[in-house]
Parts: sequence; structure tokens; C-alpha cells
Amino acid sequence: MRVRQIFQFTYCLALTFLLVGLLSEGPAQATIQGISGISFTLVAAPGYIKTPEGNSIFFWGLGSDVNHVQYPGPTLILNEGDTITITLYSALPQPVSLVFPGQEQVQAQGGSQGKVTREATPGRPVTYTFVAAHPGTYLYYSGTNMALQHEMGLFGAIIVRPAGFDPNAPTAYGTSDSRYDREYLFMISEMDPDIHRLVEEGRYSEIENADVFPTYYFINGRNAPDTMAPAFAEWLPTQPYNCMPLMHPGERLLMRIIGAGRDNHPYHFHGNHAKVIAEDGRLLSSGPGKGADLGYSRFTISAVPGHTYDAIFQWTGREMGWDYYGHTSLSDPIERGELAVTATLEAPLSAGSAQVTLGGQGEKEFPMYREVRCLIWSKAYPSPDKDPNREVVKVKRASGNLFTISRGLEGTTARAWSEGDYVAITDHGRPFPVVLPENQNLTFGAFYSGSPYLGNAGNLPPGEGGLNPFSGFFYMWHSHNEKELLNNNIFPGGAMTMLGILPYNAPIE
Amino acid sequence: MKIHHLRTTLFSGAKGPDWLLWVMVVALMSLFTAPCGAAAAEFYLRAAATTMVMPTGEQVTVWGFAKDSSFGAKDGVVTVPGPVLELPPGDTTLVIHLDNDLPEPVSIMVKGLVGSMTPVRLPDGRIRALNKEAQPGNSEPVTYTWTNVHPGTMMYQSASHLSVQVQMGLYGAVVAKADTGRAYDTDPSRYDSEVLLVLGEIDPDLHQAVASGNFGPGKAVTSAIGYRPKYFFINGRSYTPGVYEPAGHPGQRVLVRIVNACLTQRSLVFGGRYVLEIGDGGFPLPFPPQHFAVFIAAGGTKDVIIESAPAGDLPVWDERLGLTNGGLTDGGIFTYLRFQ
Repeated sequence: MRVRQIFQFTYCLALTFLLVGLLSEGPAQATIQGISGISFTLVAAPGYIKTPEGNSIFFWGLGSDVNHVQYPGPTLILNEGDTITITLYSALPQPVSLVFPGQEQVQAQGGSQGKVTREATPGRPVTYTFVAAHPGTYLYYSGTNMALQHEMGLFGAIIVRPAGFDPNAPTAYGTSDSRYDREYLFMISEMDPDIHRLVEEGRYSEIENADVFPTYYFINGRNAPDTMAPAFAEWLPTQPYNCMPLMHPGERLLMRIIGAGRDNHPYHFHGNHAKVIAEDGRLLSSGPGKGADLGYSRFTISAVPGHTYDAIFQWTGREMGWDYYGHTSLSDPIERGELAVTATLEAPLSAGSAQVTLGGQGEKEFPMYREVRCLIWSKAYPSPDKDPNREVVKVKRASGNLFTISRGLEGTTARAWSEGDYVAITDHGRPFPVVLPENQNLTFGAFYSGSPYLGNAGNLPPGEGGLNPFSGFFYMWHSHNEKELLNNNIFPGGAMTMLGILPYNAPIE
Repeated sequence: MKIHHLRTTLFSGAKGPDWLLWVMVVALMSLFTAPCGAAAAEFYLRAAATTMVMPTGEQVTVWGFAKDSSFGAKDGVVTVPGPVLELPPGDTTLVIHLDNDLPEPVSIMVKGLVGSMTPVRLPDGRIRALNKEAQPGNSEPVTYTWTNVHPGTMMYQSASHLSVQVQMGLYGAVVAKADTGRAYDTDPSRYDSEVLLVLGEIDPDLHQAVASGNFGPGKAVTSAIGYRPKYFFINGRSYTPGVYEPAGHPGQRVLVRIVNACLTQRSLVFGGRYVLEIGDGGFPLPFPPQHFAVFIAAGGTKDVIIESAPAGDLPVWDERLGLTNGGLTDGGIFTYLRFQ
């Protein structure tokens, strides 16, 4: 991407950060915008959305009244076990209905019977009830003339919180492996503006649904770079939801991905793999109590039409090759997120030993063939910075859970350790492996803080950088079907946003 | 016939059998061990053209398969999808004798079964067809044998000129039964009744070009690159009011075998109910996941179980929205599973 393009493209991002900085009062859990409760009124009516390159597209949306419809429809945030009532009113020229895949005891009253469920027409609303019996990520959409009405925008997300949900220790499914620090919604869809124009002009007979040729791609109803603008931005009245994932290193970010269009959207996230723990609102589990033991790691999640996915994304400095905190000494404080993988000694380790067996939760996540820099510290201390005798070692897997170990690095002393003591991968104190070029030899991106270290700003020439006030790291998260990075053939745009990794002192709302 | 002839020679006529003949007999018998050991499901398929009437009234030439009683009998009905090739439990051999009444060479392969393929090559060595071919108007059947058939839902299709012949309709389902009441050798695959859904689609313009001889190099339509299907089918039918598939009784475990012969993926929704995915591509899934939308890759198969559906018609639709018939809305890959 050329610098100028990045500039245009990130203007809104800077604005976002500005607002975030002004409004935040310290760290808080980022969450998904939506409406909560057990009883909802939704009105289906026409409206217009805006696209970043300046277009305005006629659509059919859902909202609280005819003047406040939105794309996608409101995200319904429900609680497990609640009986939900949704009354659908229509101001559309053809019957409309709603279906709720994955919900239980779905019933419909009123209106008239359609092919799939009961349908609403102006003056004849339908009341749907269902039991949100299971936690998870779901969607709802029109069950009438679906080829056209899904295209026109009649769908939305449903999130069901697990029983006993604690906002201060949230989980997606009530299991420990579904716990998260932040959650974001990625509802991916597309539009063919020609069809919308035919509907706007009432030329229904000219619509050929099988000839759909989308040219706009959306995350949560917005195209990039609007995805990164604030939620409820007043200049996007019918597209209230943004998609601006931000996190601190080491946190668990829950991605709730929904394929809401007719096409597959290969949603690709830079920075790390994510572990898919659930599909269609069901934990990928081999049995009760086993958690997401059938989960799988992916760097692209193919959002298939009508499917939902829950994935846990984590990012640390692990295996980056340098200490991105810029620490110079072991006496610097250990940062949260630095020690994402912690194993325990399965047997005592004598001072002269070069072999160690590791167990515990983190053991399997030690790399197979690479030597990694680790810390050993006593189980008497919760973290290595509390243990004055902690030791810097290099660890490489030999076979199974047997590791070879190099001792006494960087001024520490090879000591004897006990069974149960901790071993954690760290890049703490590792210097940046290369000398950075002089500024006159660099081309700057608007995101570059002037420093390769998280949270550090360096000297930049006048007019460079400036869109990264907290000196974070940024990764593009986008549909990897590259034409979906366009807004009606204009790059960049489409189903794309950026993940921001912010240092701990940066607030995230 | 050949084995029989040799045996006759050996045991009735010859006084001192030649050792070379013995070697040949042993070699031939080992080749045919499996057909001799188990009952073979044997089908006489004929590839031929026919006409389908679309819901809009448009008549489209399609290529399909017919199941004849013997080679040359030509007594089967040409259908799209082709006839279901069903193997009873324990039957591990599938034999297809192919007759070709189409204007170009046709061959057969079964996706999901390992078999020896005999590709047809161009003079420069490049593969032109994936398996040995029956020439137009062949006087002898071309026979294909699979000796390792495992239980599951699979798809057969033409292995020649695939970009044209598959979309013209040369495909169908292979259903190999495990034992009574189970789709596979797994507990979750047990079922009370079963339904087969073969998904398909048609681009009438491409069919017209092929049928009228306007397809190919130097002709009006040079390739299938502009393929744009306009009609969408379940079991060869677009949805029309009154259409349903008998599925079983309320509360039963109903096995739905899905074969996707479309050139794109499909995402089937069963009224929003969860279904259990117990098979994928003709093999069992050891830990069947629950889904409310079933992804079936192009050319792939899935087996799902619907549990405890109530009495009534359960709507089934494609969330990839292949739900139209030409310009007509509300049709395509949509049907009802009737529980009564």
C-alpha cells in the first residue's frame, strides 16, 4: 500500500483513537454494541446506507421504527434461558418474516403463513417467541423471498450470554477455554448495488437474483475504512456498528464471526492464529465437561453463508525475535502478556542437568523445533519478577515433553529447581536483533511510531506518522478474497479493518 | 468369459497343463478375486441427451444417465441427476458398464472411492480425460470396477470434459449401505429412515450452446468460463408448491444424504434446527458436530441426522441463496421434509 493511500485510509482510525483517548476513564472491557432484553420490537423498512467512496445505497433494514432502520439489523444480546419475544412490523412492499436458526421452541403468531414461517405485512405484525436455550453466537434473517431480502439487508446477529455471565470475567460458553478479555463482532456481508437500484425504482421484474454481482463488502454493515470509525458515528446513521478490534498483548480476544451474505468470505487475520472453539453456537467438544477439545487453529476462517464461528485470538511478543517492549535488563518489570505460555517442571531439576520434563497447561504450546528463551522461577512466587533467583534459560523440545535446556544465561546462575516450579517463554530483555536504518533511509507509514518497541515513540521527520498516538502495532484483518477489499472497484475498502495491539497504559473502551 | 474359457481348457481338455497357462490363470484369478468373493452391484448406465422443462417453461437440453437392464437394451429413462447406484450392506464391489449415446466421449469416476483410473492422454502426454472412455455409439460396454467400496454417500460423475459434462448433468449419487439402521460403522450414524438430496444447477445458455454445437474452440461460446447458473434443483426439481420429500415419522432419527453436484458450495438450512453431521465425503466423522447450516463443498457430500423433528413439513433451503428459478423468486434449492 502506498503511503498516501494509507493516509486516506487511516484518517478515521486516528479520529477513533482521539475519541477513545478523550472518553476513556481507564481500562474497561470492550464489548459488542447491541440491544439487550427479553422483548423487542423490530420494524422492517427501507433506508439508505453510505459507502466510503461516496455512494448511497437503498436498502431494507430493521430498527426500532421506520426512521431508524439499520444495516445489519440490531444485534440482540440475550441471556441463556430467557424466553424472547420479537414483534416484527413491516413497512416494506412485500411480506417479510424472521427466522432464528439454532434457537429453541420458535413460534410465530399473527400475520399470514408463508413458506417458512409467518409473515408480516403493513398493519399485520408477527410476534415471534423463542427460548435462548444455549449460549453462543447466532444470527437471524428474513425467511421470506430470501434471495432478495438477504441481499437487501434483512439480517442481524444474536449473542446469547451463558448462565451466570460475569461481565468482569466473561466467557462465551461458560467454560474456561471460552473466557475472554474483549469481544468483537465480524458480521460479513456483501451487496450488489444494481439490485438495490432496481428495488428502489420498483423494477422488480428486472431482478435476476441468480445474476448477483456484488461490488461492496461489509463488516458489521460498514466498508473499510468506515469499519474503523466510531460506533454510532452521526454521519453513518443507518450503520451504527463499527469493527475496531483493539487489545493489549496477552489478552484473549473473542472473535464472533458470522457469514451473513450469500458468498463465502475467507476472513483472514494477521498477527497470529486464532483457535476456533465453536461453530453455529455449539462448542467444538468431544463430550460434556471436555471444553473445546475439538477446537482448531486457523489464520483464515471461511465465513460460510449462514454459519457462525467463535474463535479466541491471542497476541504476545512470543517468538517475535526481539523484545518488543524495549526492555534492556531483567530488572525491568515483567509485562502482562509476555508470559503467555507457562509450563511446570514435572521432576526436580539439578543444577547441572541439561534435560527437563515439562507438563502443565502450557507444555503443548512450546514450539516443536525451535529454541526459545525462557525464565524459570519458584512456584512460591506467582510471577517471575517476584522471584529474585529467577533464571534465564534456553529451552528446546527434544521429544514428547522432554526438553533440552541451556542454563545460566545472561548473568543468572544455574540452580537446582523443584518439581512444580514454573517455566515460561519470554522475550524479556532480548535486544532488537538489528540496528535500525537511519531515518533518511526509511519510508514511513502513517502508523509508524518511530520505534519498533510497543508504546515507544521515536523521532520522525515532520509530517510523518501521527496516526498512532499510543505507539501500538497494527495488523490488517480482512477478507482474503482480494476483490472484497474494494468499494465498488476503489481500493482500499471492503470487508477490512485493522487490529490494534496497544501497550498496557493505553486505554481501550 | 475368459476365465471360464481357460478353466474349461484346463480341466476338461488338456492332458498335461502347461505351467505358463497356470501362471496366467492364477494371475487372472487374483485380479478378479474380489468380484468372485462378494456379490457385485452391477449397473448398466447409458449417457444420453434429454430435455428438462424449467419452472419458467423453458426447455433445456441436458445430458444424463439412464439405468438400462443390459447393454444395448436402452430401456432406462435418462434423468438428471442420474440413477442412484445403491450397494446393499456387505457389498464391496461396484461395477458400471457404460454405454454412450452422446456426441462426445464419456467416462465415469466415483468421488470417494479409490479405483484404478486409466487416464486418456493427448499426443503430447497431457491428460485429457481422467478415466477410460466410452466412445459415442460404442458397440461394447466400457466397464469400470471398484472393489473397495466402503459405506457412505458418494458422487459419480463424468471424468471426461468435466467443465461441460458435469454441468450438463452427467452425475448422480452412490449410496453404499453399512448395515441395517446405520450409515457408517459409528453409533451416531444410526437412523430410522433416510432421504437423499442431490443438489444441482443449470445455466441454460451454456446448455443451449453445447446442445446446438456452438460450444468449443472457434465457436460462439469458447469455454465454460462464463458459467452463470439460473436454475437450482434438489433431486432434479426446482421448488414448486406442493413438492416435498417424505422423511419419516415425527421423532425418528432421519438420515439426510446430501450430494452437491453444483459447481459452487451450498449451505443447507433445515428450518433452523440443529442437525448432526455424521459423514463427510463418504467417510464417517468421529465426533459429529452440530450445525444449523450445513456446508457442502462443490462436488462434495455430507450425511446429517435430524433428531426428533415434530410432525409437519420442515422447510429446507440453501443459505447461499440458490433460491430462484430464472427470474422467478422463491424456488430453486428449497423443499420440505415431511414428517408424518
